[in-house]
Amino acid sequence: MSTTDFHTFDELPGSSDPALSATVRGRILARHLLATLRAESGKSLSDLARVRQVTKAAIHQAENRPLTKISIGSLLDHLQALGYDVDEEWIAQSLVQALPAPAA
Amino acid sequence: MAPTTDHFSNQFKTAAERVVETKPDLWDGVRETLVYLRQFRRQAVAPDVRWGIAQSKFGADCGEVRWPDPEIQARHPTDAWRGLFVARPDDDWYVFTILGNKAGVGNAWHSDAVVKSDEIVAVAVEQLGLQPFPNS
Repeated sequence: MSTTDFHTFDELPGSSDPALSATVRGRILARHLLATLRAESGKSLSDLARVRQVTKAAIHQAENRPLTKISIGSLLDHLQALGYDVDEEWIAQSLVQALPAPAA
Repeated sequence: MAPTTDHFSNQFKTAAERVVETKPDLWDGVRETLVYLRQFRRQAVAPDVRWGIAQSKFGADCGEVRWPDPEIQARHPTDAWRGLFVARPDDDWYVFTILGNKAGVGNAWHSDAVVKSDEIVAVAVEQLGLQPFPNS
């Protein structure tokens, strides 16, 4: 191998469909949000499954459910359906904490 | 702290180029997962990134990006792409080593790929002059 055997991210193929990439990114961030919220609540998949008396896979499947047309209200409904005792203020604070720092 | 640098192996890049030629939509998914990991690093907790590959000597600092995601996996029964990487504990560098499809192979894919991945990291550290991995 030589140093030319290693490349930067910019040398990888670009996106073939920017609209699809944007959709994909939204799905990833929705999953990131749910995983972050659960982690910040200190609960594992197993913890939630035990509390709700369902399988761990069922919790995992619920977290992977597509989130469309997100509003605070629908997000609150979704999280409460998952078994979280949360309110709008907590969601707002957690959202801010989960977001990356704004670009300078 | 200096910005994190990312290095992609020739294998990773070549595999990406093959994917984009045959299944560009899948590559877009893999690519966005890489973008996500590069943005959030150790805070990338979505299931699209898995931290901690037991077979690797780098353990918790070895991970993989995963695509297709659970929402579309059923539409892609012959695709289960994994992109292995290793991050220095202080995030000084990430080396992305192996990109491959484990569909139909199962966990056996990792047995082979992780060994090669660990070897590529050692080569990258030496040839790119990266900060050594602690205790290596």
